[in-house]
Amino acid sequence: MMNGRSIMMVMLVCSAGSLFAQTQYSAKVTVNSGNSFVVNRLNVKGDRLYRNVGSSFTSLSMIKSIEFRFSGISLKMCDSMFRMGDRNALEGLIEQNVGPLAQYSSLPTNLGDYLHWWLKTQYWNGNSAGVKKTIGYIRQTEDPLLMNVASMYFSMLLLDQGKVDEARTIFSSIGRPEEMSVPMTEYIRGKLALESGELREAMRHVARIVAFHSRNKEWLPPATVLEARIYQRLGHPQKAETVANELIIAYPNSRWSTLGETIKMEITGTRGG
Amino acid sequence: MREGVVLVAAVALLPVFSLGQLSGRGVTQSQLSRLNPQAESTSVLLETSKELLKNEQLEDALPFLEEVLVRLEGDEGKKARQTLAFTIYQLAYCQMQLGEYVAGARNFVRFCNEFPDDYQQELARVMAAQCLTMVQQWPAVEEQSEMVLQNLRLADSLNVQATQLLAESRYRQEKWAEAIKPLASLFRMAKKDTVRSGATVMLVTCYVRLDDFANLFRFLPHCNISARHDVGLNVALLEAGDSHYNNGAFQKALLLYRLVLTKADLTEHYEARLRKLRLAMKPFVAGTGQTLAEFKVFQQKQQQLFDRLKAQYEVITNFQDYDMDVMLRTAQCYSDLGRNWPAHAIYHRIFDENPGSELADQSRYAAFAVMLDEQEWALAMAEGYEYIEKMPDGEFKDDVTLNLMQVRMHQNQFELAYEMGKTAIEISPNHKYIDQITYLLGYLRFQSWDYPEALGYFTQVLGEWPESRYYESAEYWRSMTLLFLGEFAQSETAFTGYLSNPKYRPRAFEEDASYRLGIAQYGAEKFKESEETFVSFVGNYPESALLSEAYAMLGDLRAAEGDLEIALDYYEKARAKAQNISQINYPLFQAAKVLDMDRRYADLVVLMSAYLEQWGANGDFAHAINWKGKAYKAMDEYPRALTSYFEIINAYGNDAERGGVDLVLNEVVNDYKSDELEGYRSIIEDELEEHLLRASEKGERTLELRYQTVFVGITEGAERDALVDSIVQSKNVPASGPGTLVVIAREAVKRKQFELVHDAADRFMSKFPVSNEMLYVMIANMDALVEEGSYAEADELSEQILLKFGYSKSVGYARKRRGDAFRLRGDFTKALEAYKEVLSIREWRGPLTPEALYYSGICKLELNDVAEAFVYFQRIYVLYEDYTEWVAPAYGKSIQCMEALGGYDQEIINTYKEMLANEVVAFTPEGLEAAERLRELQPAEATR
Repeated sequence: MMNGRSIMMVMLVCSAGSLFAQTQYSAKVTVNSGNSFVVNRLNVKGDRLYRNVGSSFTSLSMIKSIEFRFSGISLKMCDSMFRMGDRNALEGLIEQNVGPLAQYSSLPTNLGDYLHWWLKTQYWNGNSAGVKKTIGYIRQTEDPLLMNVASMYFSMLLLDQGKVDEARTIFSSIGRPEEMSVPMTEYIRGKLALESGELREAMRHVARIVAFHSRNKEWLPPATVLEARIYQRLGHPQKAETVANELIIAYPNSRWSTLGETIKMEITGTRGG
Repeated sequence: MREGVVLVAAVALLPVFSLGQLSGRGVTQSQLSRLNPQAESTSVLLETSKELLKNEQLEDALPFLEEVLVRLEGDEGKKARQTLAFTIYQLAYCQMQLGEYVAGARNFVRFCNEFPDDYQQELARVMAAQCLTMVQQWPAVEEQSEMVLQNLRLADSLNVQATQLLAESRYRQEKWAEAIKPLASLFRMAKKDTVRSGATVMLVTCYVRLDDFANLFRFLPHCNISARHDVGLNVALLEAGDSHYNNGAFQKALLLYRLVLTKADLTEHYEARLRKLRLAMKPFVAGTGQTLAEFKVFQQKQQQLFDRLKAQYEVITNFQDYDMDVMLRTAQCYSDLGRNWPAHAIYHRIFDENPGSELADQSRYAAFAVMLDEQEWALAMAEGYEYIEKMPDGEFKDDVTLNLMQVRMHQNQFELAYEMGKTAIEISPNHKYIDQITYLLGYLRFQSWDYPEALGYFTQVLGEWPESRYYESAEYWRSMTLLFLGEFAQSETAFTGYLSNPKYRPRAFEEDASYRLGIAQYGAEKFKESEETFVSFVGNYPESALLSEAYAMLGDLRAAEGDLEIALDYYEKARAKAQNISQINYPLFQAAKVLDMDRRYADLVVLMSAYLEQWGANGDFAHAINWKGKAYKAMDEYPRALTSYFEIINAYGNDAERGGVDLVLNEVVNDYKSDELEGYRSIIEDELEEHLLRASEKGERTLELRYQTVFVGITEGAERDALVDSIVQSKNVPASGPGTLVVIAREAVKRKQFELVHDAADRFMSKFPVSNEMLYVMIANMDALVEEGSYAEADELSEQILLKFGYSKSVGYARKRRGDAFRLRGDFTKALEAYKEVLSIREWRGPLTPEALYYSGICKLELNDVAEAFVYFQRIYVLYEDYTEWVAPAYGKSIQCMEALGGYDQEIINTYKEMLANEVVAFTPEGLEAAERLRELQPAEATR
């Protein structure tokens, strides 16, 4: 049995050995009794987790939580890189650091937040195969909130693939999507309305993102694109052009400015803002 | 930025001097009073200066340093030069510390220029620049800091200071592009948040001023949280937004406003920082490794930072309605960019979340206005009505009511527009736009044919607001109203008055009024004046849209005088100048009348043939072919008339929506039934059969249905039933023309196929809104509604029928069915009212009267008013004995009433006898029953 002092273990950041040659992390394992220990390699065989040395192990069913700390990435870093637009680099970092551990997402870990960031970056980087795989890992967590988030991104993916009915079905199965993300919910609702030809309804949703989430780095740009598209469908090319200009000015050298230029090209036959 | 300038503690860099003969506690005033700088030796002057400097007695040190300077000037000795350098530097330092920045700067620069190899060279230039900063001599600051930065091996702290000075000097000189490089360097190098924040604010401003939004949006994500939350930065964004907005650059203004953080964001940030600073400012504790002096310096810096942040915090918290203000500006940008939906969402939030604020009123109005601009009428109206409800004293209520009125007009909802106009004046008796509202009310009443009230409103505008911009319109429409009221003489006067009113230059309605004047004169039977007016009109307005109509009027005027050739000539001109088909049709058919009157049938045939050839299905082919047929008939060439009819029927008859074909078919049916053309009956029938067969063979379903419909009208018995079976099917509804739909609706009622009736009626109403047969379909539909128990809908439909067709004969039936609907629903009082209406309209008297009387009696019976019921039944057999189907049951019901009332035994017997005396009644079921009853009452007499 562990004594009281062993509970106060100091977190160590260790090299993970040959199995995860490029991954540096440590994991604080807390068991149901409240005691905890740290491993620098998650050595799981069957239903057992083995310690760093020796043959001592803990049954997986006895584990209350596993908290990973990565030397190469943190949640704050994810937030910062995503906000600054370094989404490819972020996806790579998460893949490198968290990827090898994602298979253990069914265990009670803190990987969920990282999987969320991974899913986001994969979606926006257009890695649909990755999205599907990560959704699989998220499902293993059985975390209802996280699963709802995954369902929302899956709806987005289906919408992008033109599978509107399937997207609608998935999205309608989410209880209170606003609790996950208000702008994302508005965006999906707007997109579904647009696909149904309910242009004004679509515009109402988009307008709320544009008006009230104007500093949301993830949803404002696509909402702005959607606004331009709706104006095009409503037969207001001048307004669509105005919105396209915003994309060109506000998001230089990005996919959003490229989309702005495309929309402008469709309307006026000329690019640029 | 000025508070960001760090004044270097130069004294700390000075060489340490020995105290000499002076005490270490400074120089007292008494000692100073005994020293005369001009009289003392240079060594005493220097010692005294050092002591005074050491003790921060800077003002006292000045005369000693200045005297040393005088004595050493021109001395080229090495020691003298060193002392001179020291003296100039210290003098500059003292001057700077004493606020004599110009002198300080001059001496620091002199020091640098005269002792270029001195190790304090860069520090002195930095201090010179700092002095110049204090007096805002920015070009000189720039010059000095540039010189410092030429040293590429500058110490970090000096590098930061010089870069900061260079950046600020260029910024102050509005050298936006040149300021960017040092600002970007400063942003990278500076360790202090205050300096970084300052650099951030300036850098953002430079990008904004340079319109370099690409770099601005690249830079902003790299701002740290402190800089991003800096009040100065956010105010700079706000001001830059305003500047762009005022220059009409709404897109850029919008992007800047959107970057401004909310009050909650800013206050939360500042509160956290202030809290952290407060916690760090603890009392001195000995033994922590920090001296008391170090502690005091630290505390002082912390306090300064705290005070600065607190001041900024107060700026934010004291900014009333900060968030709303930013939101309002953002919304305004969206609105100016035509992006009304986001603008609308923001305005909505402002008044939802701040219902009592001053801006709520403005926002509510703006939410209404942007939806108007977006032409989202339903939403705009919802906002407008809510404004009136929620802001009865709102600043914009007059604008809202006027706009609502106009929106309703735009939507052709004239009654609702009128209601809004009335409300506008009711809630705002001193309405800002009272003249316009009154004028519009008049116009709306005119549109609703309520000419007397319209006249009142127009007259009010003319009487009360002679300076109104709607005065001219009111004068014109008043003249028009008089014309439509049939007050031709007054109308003529009014139009003449309008056309001679010198106030209007130019006259907005001159052309139209000049034409209407002729109409008014025509109405007033001033034919000569009328003709003169029209002649004048065609001369004055050769391009007018009314030119054709003026020629047509001239044609009518000449025709009335018997000048048929001239009339025909005018009608031809009218057609030549026509701008639409109705301007062609009117003079064409007027010319047809003239030719008919003149018996010029061959010309008539030519005229109509040419018209049909030119306009085909786009013209009034039914009317034209009927004229052509009429001409052939007049020439006794009926077969040619018949051929012409079938040519048209077969050409256009398979298009269900060409209702005119049914008119031509009706003409054929009329001919078939006509006694005069009896000799052609079999020919007509053969032709019809042949064309029906051909349409069937060609699969022309609509045409086939049309011919079948004709046969329904001219056949009887099993033959007719078979045709009806074929027509009355839901699959035929989409292919049916108006005539066929009437047959479907009527026959489906008999067959109790009510859904089919509704389908046929719906199609009819949507496709043939001006058909003559609409009334029959509506009545059939109403019958179906009554039969299926949809009484409320039946009542509504009955109202529509009355509204559309007035008191025409068939409408009486619809109103009687309305009574039936009330009766069947058990509302006998309303049923009685409905029957009373049927009985009171002269045009509806006839077969409906006994029926309405009978059911009135039934209602009275249901209401237990037997005596009244009896009177109704009696009236039927007394006054309407020819209507046996009502007389017989009326007798029966009368007897029932008398039995219920009691004491009428003899009257009952008499009534039976009277009933049986009417031979037709005697053989009705009621008559047979009456005979049986009479036998029971008076066996002997009854058998006689």
